[in-house]
Amino acid sequence: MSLAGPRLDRPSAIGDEGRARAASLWLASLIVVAIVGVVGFEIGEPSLLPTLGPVVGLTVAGVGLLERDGFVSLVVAHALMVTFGTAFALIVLAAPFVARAGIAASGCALALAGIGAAWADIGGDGLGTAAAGSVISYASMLCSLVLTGVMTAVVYFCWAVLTSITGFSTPVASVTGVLLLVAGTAGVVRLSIRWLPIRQVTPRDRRPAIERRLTAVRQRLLYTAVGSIGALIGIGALGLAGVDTVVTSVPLLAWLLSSLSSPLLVWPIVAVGAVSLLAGAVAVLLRRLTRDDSAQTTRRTAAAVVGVCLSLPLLLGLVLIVSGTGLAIGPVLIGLGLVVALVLGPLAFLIVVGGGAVGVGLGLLPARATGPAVAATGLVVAAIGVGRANPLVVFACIAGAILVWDSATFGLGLTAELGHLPDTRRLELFHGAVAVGVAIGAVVIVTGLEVLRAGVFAGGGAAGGAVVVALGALLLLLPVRG
Amino acid sequence: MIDRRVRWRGAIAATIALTVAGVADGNPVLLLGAVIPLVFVAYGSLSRVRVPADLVATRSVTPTPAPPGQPVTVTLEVTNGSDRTITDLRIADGVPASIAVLEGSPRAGATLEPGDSHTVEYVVVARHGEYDFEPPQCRVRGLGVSATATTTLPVSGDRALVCRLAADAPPIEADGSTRVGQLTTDEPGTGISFHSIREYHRDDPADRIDWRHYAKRGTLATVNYDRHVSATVVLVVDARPANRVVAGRGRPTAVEYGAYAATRALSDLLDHGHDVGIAVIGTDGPGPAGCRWLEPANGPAQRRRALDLLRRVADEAAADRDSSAPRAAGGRTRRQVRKVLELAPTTAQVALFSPVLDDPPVAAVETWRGAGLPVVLLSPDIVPSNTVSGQFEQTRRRTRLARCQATGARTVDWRRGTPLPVVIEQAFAVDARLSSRRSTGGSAGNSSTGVGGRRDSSWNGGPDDGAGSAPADGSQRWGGGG
Repeated sequence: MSLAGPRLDRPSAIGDEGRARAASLWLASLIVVAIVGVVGFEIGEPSLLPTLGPVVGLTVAGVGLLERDGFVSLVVAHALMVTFGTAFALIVLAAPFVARAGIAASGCALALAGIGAAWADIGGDGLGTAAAGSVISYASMLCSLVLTGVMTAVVYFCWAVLTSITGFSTPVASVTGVLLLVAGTAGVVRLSIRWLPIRQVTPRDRRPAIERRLTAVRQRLLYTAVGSIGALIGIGALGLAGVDTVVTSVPLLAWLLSSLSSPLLVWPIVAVGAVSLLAGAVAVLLRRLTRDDSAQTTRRTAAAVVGVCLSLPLLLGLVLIVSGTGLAIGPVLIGLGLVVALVLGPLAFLIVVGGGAVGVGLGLLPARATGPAVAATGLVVAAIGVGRANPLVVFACIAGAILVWDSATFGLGLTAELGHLPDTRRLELFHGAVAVGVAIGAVVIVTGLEVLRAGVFAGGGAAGGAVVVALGALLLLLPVRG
Repeated sequence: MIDRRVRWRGAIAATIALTVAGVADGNPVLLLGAVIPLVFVAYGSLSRVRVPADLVATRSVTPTPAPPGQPVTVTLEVTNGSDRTITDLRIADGVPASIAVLEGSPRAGATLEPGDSHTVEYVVVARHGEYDFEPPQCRVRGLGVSATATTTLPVSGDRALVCRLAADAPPIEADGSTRVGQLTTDEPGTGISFHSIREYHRDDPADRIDWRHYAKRGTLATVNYDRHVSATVVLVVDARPANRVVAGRGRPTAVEYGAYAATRALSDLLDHGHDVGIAVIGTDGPGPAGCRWLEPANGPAQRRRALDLLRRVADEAAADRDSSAPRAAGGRTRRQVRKVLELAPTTAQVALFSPVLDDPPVAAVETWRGAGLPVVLLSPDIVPSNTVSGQFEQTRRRTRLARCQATGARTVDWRRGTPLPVVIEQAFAVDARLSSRRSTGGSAGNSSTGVGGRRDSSWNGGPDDGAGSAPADGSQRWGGGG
């Protein structure tokens, strides 16, 4: 169902409803930008508009890019959401708790985001997609962090084992270490042979020969691994039986066995295993990346990739905190900033966009006019934020909110009824001019009432003012009743 | 119909939010500000609208009647005949459901001062039949936009789009030649252009005596002129259900295009005194082998019968274009192709009108060429090339055209969007160039893709067309020029 009621003619001849007509959106945008600029000066932050503009703009761009299907576009979209989106969400949620002016800044950020969303044609679906993407990115970041920790521990353990093997001086320990290494390397090489596309890159006429050779290599590697483990068990059994002293009693044999743990022998074996593992992992990764995936899988992969990348600064922050504790406050503060921003920021973004999506789902925000509704809400919040400042600015914010809603929904209705092709600029500008006139009239009336309240009824206190307001409201509600 | 839309729920919400904030904050400015949204609500409620009584609409459809596939411009002019400005007028013309809008939009929005007019212009694609336009829908809004009045406008001028196969064919009675054909033969006879001189016979008419020869030689001689004869052409329309497909929504079917091209050829050939027969293959008709057959003949009566037959074919194709009935009848088509071969005079030429979307037309051309009949294939292109599958299908179609060409048939690829006369003109220009090349020993390529040139040559089928055929003489070809 269209926003402006039933369509004029058959739906097939209409085109998509989508974005409002450009002239209406321009009018709404100008109003938002002007009011945000004025509010910035009013709260003592003249740079409010140039500060919020890029942050909000890139956040909206990120959410808007989620409509694309390309992997790179989606990665850029999630990257923008987890960086600028985080900053935007922290401004919206955290600023009101800092100072009263923060409420105005938060409202202005919302207003700019709303009008940006209107241009980018972001509705409830877009917000839902953004929320889902941010959840995946956040979970990937945490999982990646945990995985990085586990991998670091494994690498550290392996390094410790290898250095201890090369440090062994007794023949039995040396043989045990080398056998362990050989068994592990054989297993890893066998696994990587399975991963590597050796058969696929071989010319078709030589494939049978290669397959025979690979089978033989796999068998030998299996025998090597099993034999090494068997030998280890045998050495253990001999050690338990106390026969190992026979070996050490022969100096030449003892020397030969001790030299098995020489770095000259150990490190080449380790290199073979590491290179095999790396090649196999690269092959698996390439195969995974080049597989023809569905759009949904691409979307999730892009979010996960951004989450994994985000885990690096988070890890850096943790490292700075751990390494800087007790030494210098600077690195600790930087680390804390990184950790707090990366742990809380995506959550804040999730709350903001998820709240929007839930609002659309519950019907609190119109699905097809989410952007204008958010922009108008933001201006009302900004009006509440500057409530103690110049009354004219407050009234301008409120009138601007209604104008933005009116103008944008009028443009949306035009798109719904007439499509994007007809030239309706004159119609939109006429409506905009009339609406601006009504808004100016309303502001003048209310300013007059404020002058009355502050002057004539000043002695009456708040009660006198409330009476004036109530009378004015009743007067205006009379025509509403018809 | 007058309606009122709810579009100020957001304003009511803003009023409530500002009132709550004002009360909670003890801020009378916010309380006063809550009045501003109410001003807009009152403005919307006060706005009134009337069904416009003096709106005048005039529609023109140019050209009408139009041949199938031709772009037709529809212009709808709406004039405000009242003495009041219409601030928000939205119009949607009642385009027939089966017609596709090719360019522009049948909808518009405007503000109209008294006496002002607004013109809506758009282009539709003609398809066989007569399509009535519905009256244009008109919606007027008051200043507050909430109140709407919707009505249908009485319209003067054209009320229907008429599409006829013979829309651009000249009437035979008006432009027809009184001569019997325009093809010349090697046999002398009566005519205009000089052929030869022979000995005088006693019964020769006096106006053919060469008096100059008598003055020089003293003996009587008779002048022979080029004898004009007519060709026999059988127009074969491929009306199989498989060809009742369209290039896009609201476009004519391939059968309609074929029937239109056959109608053009019919008028042209009859106009020049040739005998023309019609065969419709692919449908169940009353003729031999289920083929609809009209014996070759000439004159206005033949034209009437042929036009009636082609119109029925196009009507059936137009009625069936949306059906999803099974479309395979290969055996019937083969029988009908053989039957055409049996029915056509041995000196006849065949013109096949088929989109060549599958193999039966190729088999038909091979059959006819195998029997020595000169064949011309005109293939309307209805395959969209903006998709991968469409490009694949287009490649297959062109391969089939090349196969037809390889049999010695003349092929004309009628590209979409190109008017048929232009296509034929290009074909003649190419043929003229090829003819001159042939006379110097060039190859016998005979596909028409050239541009420019004059329509001054006949639709001859190339030097190899005559091979194996048995025309009265080697120079007997289609006479299309004039």
